[in-house]
Amino acid sequence: MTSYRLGKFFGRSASYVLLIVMSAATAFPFVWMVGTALKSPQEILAYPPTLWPHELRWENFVTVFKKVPFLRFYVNSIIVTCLITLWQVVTSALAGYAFARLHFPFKRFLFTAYIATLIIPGEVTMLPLFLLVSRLGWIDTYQGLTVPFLASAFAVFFLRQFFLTIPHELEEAARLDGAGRWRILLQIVLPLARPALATITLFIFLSEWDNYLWPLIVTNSEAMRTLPIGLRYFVEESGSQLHLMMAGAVMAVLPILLLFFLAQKQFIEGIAMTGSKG
Amino acid sequence: MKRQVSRNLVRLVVSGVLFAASLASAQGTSIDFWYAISGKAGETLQSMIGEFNASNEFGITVNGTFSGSYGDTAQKVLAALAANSLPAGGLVPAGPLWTCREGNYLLEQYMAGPEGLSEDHFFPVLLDYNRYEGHLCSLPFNNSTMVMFYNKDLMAQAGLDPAAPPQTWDELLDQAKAIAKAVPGSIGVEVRDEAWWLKGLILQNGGAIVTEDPTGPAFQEPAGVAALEYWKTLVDQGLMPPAQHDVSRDLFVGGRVAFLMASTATLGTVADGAAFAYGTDLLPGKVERGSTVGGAALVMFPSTPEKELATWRLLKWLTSAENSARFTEATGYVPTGPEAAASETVQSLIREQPAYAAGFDQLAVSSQYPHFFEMGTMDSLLADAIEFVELGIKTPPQALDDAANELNKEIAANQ
Amino acid sequence: MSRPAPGPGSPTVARRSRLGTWVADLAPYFRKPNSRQEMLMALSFLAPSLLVLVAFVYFPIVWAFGISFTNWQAGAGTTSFVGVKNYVDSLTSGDFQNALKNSLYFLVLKLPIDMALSLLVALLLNQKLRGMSVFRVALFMPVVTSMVAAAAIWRVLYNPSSGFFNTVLNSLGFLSLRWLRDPNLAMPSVVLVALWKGLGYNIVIFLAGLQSISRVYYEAAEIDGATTWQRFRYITLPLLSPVTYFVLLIGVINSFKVFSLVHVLAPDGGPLNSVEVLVFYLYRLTFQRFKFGQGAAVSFILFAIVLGLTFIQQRVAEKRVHYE
Repeated sequence: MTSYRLGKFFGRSASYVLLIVMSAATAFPFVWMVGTALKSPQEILAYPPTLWPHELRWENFVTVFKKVPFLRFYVNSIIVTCLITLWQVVTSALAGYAFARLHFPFKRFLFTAYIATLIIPGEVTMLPLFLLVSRLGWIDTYQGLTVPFLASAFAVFFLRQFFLTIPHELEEAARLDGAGRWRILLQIVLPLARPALATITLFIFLSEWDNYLWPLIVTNSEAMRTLPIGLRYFVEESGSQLHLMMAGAVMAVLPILLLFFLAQKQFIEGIAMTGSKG
Repeated sequence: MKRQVSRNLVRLVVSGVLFAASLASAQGTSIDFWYAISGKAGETLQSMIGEFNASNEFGITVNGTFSGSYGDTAQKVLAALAANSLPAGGLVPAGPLWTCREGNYLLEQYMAGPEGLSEDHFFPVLLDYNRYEGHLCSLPFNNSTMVMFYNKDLMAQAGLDPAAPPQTWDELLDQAKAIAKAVPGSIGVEVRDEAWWLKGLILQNGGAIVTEDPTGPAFQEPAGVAALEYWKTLVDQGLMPPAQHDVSRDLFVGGRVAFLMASTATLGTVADGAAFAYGTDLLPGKVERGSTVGGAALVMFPSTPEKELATWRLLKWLTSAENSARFTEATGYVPTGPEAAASETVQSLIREQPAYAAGFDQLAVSSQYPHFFEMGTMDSLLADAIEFVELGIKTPPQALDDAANELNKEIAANQ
Repeated sequence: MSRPAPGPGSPTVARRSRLGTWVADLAPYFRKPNSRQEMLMALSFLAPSLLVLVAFVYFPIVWAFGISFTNWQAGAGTTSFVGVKNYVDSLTSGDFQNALKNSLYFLVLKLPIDMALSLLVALLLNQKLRGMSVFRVALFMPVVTSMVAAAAIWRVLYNPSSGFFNTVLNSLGFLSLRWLRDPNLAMPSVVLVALWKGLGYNIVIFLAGLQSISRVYYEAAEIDGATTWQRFRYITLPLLSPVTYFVLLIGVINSFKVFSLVHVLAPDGGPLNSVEVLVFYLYRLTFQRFKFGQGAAVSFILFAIVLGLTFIQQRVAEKRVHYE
């Protein structure tokens, strides 16, 4: 072996060692969460805690559906999150492209104004927003759950940054061929930004999926409630329904994992395509 | 203040006129009801509401909705209060602050009305908990108090009689010392919710937590200082680990702690998790026994006279001796009145699970200051004061004086 | 200002003030028909998001700004205009200064490690090696793990009496530490959990960024015989800079907004309130002490601070960020 290869071998080994150690640390609590979902109420309280249950209680998953209208919460969460995610990706791609490529007055000011919305903590605007939504008559409706979140500066900022990494030349060439902005966006920019679009879809979905306080405040009937509220039904001072809460949480994570795998496929294709080596 | 009074007067007249008419027309009324309890307790309440809907003779339908934890419910109620979209009633934390403080004295009116209830129906200490500026603003339902859990195995290992847990501060100190000495790695005393125990210690020492009307701090007086000095002794002698009380319950369940001061609500956890013999008893006393109480409260919010009457009927049904006893049986919360406590349901619960008895006995020697706007602030100031003392940053009198000054400042600012 | 103005045909306008900048930027748009068309185009691209933001974000913000000048306190009671009292009260309060200090400490402790580590791991994951997809999933797990589950397990790890970390320390002959309950160690302990929870998020962003760098550059570098370090320094880093800038700016903003993670780990604000960060303080003011006015004031002070930091970042970054 040449020393070059040796170095490569060591570099590779070091990569693996680092990744294995970090993965163990990051995945461990998730394993514990799944383990807890399968425990009996007695075993949950055992101290010191056990990682994996002595006896797997799959019926915990069924109990969740019996105790609360979990399916209804699930469907609501899917409806609300998908609506918001799809809409946000579209509005953000448009605005992100405008900020990345178009020239217009007040661009810097507007961009800063977008960013500024990210700085104000939601705890402060929640009350005025609630008063507004209640005046619109949207309490306990899907509009109340979705409309205020159909745009987000986070996604706009994210996509703008990625659009900026796309080489100008491709767009210039298309413009010389007479393509309009819309066509350039749809046929050149968006396909090139697929990893970024996949990522932001995942992120928007993730943050809306976990949203708890707003749905709690803006809905009053069980028929309109979403998963994160459903999980709180199992909170108990004595902690003895933790297994049900974790069973619910494990089921709640599934769509996000699915989305992650889909997004990850974009990455893998990306790697195959560019074969980039950092 | 003036505005509140006149508004209230109008309310009174209007509701008086409408009352007779409403008695008949409450038929077929539908009301919204929010509750801030989850887990087993929430489940029990929800099924009781279902039962009420199916069985009440007035055709009332109650839409019960879980409104999140105490903290979350406070946010939800605040928002609804601002938007004028409150439900007809609820089981919410700090009930008197959302009702009387907002000029809503509905509960008092209905208590005294034709379908009213006598205050004797409830334990006086629980009613005190539901008062604000002299008015009864809400009704007790899911209340708990603080008791001592003790590990009989650890006591036996130290040669102590497991049937004779400490009854006084001195006995607690001595027994904890004996156990810490005999069993290496054991912890003598632990507490879950520090401010709650300190308030208990102050009462046990014959002191007061707040002054009589108008409400201000009294915990900084000698009885309170002595209580915190006692606390400091436990820490200084290595019997209670300082400032890590958030894990106390787990350590007790794990068999490491001899004496744990905690809410009666902890009983379920201990019963399910402890692999050793344990018992419960009143908090050890000094001059007397004592503790304060905690929990959410049943409230009525202003709506139409029909809905208000329907809500009152629900509240009355929920707090009936029979239903209070059933709720106690299912959840371990204390019974709300003497009749409920004497019921066969509760008595047989105590026979089967003697650990529950301590909570009910503790209630008999508990006392409670009424609600006031800064009471949440007071508890966090007391918790801070305890921490300062435990970490040796302040002396007990210093820490309590500082807390009292802070609280006075806050009260003055809110005037 | 080193960069030319974004508008076409206005490269060297003297910049006296921000207002002047905007006016100067504006001028060319009304001259060239081409620009006017582009302006309409931009408007149609921005309108969908802008409308929602105006109605449901800016409007509540302005409303909250109004509240910050009143003594509004829960429900009824009289509410009156109190001027800048809430701002003065907050800025001079010891609790606020403590919270501000804690927030800055959190930022300084977390952000550099977070960015360096997530970039490093993203680079590792971006190699064509076996098993990378497994690692990618494992590293993303904390992002999807329920915070309740995460907090429960971290409390077991940190438990001062019998926790995992202390067991390890003791077996190595060290004394136990008090972790979350030690005034000096509480914030680093919280930061460790925050790093754990958030790392996967930034890794994914960096991965997406690395994907966007065209392979062509690396091929050219290879032909020139560039070393791994040189490729990283002269290709990856500059071409990744828009993404790095995003991670940095969002990192600053989110560090100042951190709340639920801290609240779950230390519901009382930690020993001597050592982890009571700004939004934690604001939450207590608003929902425990019901001081809406002052809570709003605190959030606008926070806003001013973070906006200031953002401007500094923009100025510094503009010289460094490499745009295609």
